[in-house]
Amino acid sequence: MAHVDIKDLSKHFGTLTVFDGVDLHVDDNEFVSILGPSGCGKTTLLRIVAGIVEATAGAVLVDGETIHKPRPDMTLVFQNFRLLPWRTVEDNVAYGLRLQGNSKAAARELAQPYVQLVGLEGREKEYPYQLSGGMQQRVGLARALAIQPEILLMDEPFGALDAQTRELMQDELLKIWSADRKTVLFVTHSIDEAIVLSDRVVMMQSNPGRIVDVIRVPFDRPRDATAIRTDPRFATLRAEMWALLRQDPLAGDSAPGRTGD
Amino acid sequence: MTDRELSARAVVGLRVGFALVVLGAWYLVALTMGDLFLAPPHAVLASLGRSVESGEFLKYLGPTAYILAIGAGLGVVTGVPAGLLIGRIRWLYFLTEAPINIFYTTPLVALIPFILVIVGFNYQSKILIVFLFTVLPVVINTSSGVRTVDADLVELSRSFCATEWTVWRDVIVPGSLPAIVTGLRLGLIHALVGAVLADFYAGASGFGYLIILYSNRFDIAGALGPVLVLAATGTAIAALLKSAQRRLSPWQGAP
Ligand SMILES: Nc1ncnc2c1ncn2[C@@H]1O[C@H](COP(=O)(O)OP(=O)(O)O)[C@@H](O)[C@H]1O
Ligand SMILES: [Mg+2]
Repeated sequence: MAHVDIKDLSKHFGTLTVFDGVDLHVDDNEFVSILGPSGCGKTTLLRIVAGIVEATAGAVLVDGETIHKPRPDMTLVFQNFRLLPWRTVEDNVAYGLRLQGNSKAAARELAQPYVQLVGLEGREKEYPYQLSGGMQQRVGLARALAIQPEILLMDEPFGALDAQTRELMQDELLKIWSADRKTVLFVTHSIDEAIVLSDRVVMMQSNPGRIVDVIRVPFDRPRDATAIRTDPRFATLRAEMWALLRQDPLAGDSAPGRTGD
Repeated sequence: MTDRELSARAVVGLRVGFALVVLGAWYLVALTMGDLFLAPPHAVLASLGRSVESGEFLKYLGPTAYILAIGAGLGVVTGVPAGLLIGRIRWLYFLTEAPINIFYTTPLVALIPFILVIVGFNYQSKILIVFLFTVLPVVINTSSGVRTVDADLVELSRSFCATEWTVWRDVIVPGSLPAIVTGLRLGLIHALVGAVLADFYAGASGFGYLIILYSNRFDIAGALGPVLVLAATGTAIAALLKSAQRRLSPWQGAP
């Protein structure tokens, strides 16, 4: 149980305004997606929420406490995996657990269910260079889930997966989340993914990055991803979001679609 | 790519073949030009054997091994930590960048006479010379290794609330390990050069002095013996560190 308040947040890099005046409340155990074209500042926003980058103005509060540095109960799944090349699959998954003070053996044992969860049993002793991009992404996901955070920040966590694995992982994430609800802030390129997973979808546009709309997704929980994709309301939502994204002159080159990127 | 496709046997064959060609060329030059110009390999080995038997070899090896052990040891023990700190602490890097580069690009040989005048013709100055030859490549490689450690991984570690010490242990040291080993390899090989030069200039003892003694007698076979031993030592150090690196960094895959 934890909620996030983003208050009038702005970020500049020199003369570049990444985004301005972002306000967002994410409720306890709510699943919120952020959908927007590349460059609108989604990654930067998540890094500020995670406490690894300073905002230029405004604040992020978790349960009313202002974020200045990373919190042990909040974790970020990075867009570019960031596995330690010198650690095996199991030790990468166990990394957060190790930093919480578990012994090597205890951390490995606690990590094992998460290795299985992402379908990497049997590859525990391999090094990241021996894995495909999709497998590396799954290791990053397992590493974040393994510490059982209250708040999960995810930056296009399925971006490196092929369409099929991507849908399987979405189903898996829905299951994990239903069994053990967490507060999730999920960045994606893909409209479909945002609809299937979220309670609400935050629509962003770029130059400068800003929130243009927040759309509630009406489907009941627990969800069945396949049923949702064939629901007529799905097509309507999809068209509505697509129209919003298309107003952004830069959205054309990133063309969010069914499988995204 | 083609390097990787060479089998281990082909590599050994290639190396042995090349060694035979060099040996053959050596014989050819030695036998056509006469042994005042270049002694043939068997004469060098025979002379080396006599030198070992008479105890002369060990007598001259001892002092050089001594200055090497202390000078290079100090160079490594201070150079690695210094390089780590310089690589990680920004103001320290900017403070030391210019002096280190000036020092590194100055041929150290040119400083040897000054060191001898200031410190004296003794073991201390020889150790100092070896130390200087070792420490610079170690510091430079280590600090550049630290500076090129993936900042994303440092951030990852931080995002799991790692302390600075944990970031060092988990990211910075393992990430710069290959560069550190390269620094050690260069440093130790420079140490050999430094030791021989120290013997040349400060004289009266050591391997370098033995080479000079034989050269002054125009005994080319005798002078080449210690040179061969030095070459073999350098090669052994390089090979040893290469295999250590492979064992220490299994994550890099096949070399
Ligand atoms: N560290 C940085 N320094 C300067 N510019 C940055 C930095 N990080 C991101 N940017 C810029 O901020 C903008 C938003 O980047 P990002 O947050 O990665 O967008 P998104 O994740 O939506 O694609 C881009 O124009 C990017 O070039
Ligand atoms: Mg991004």
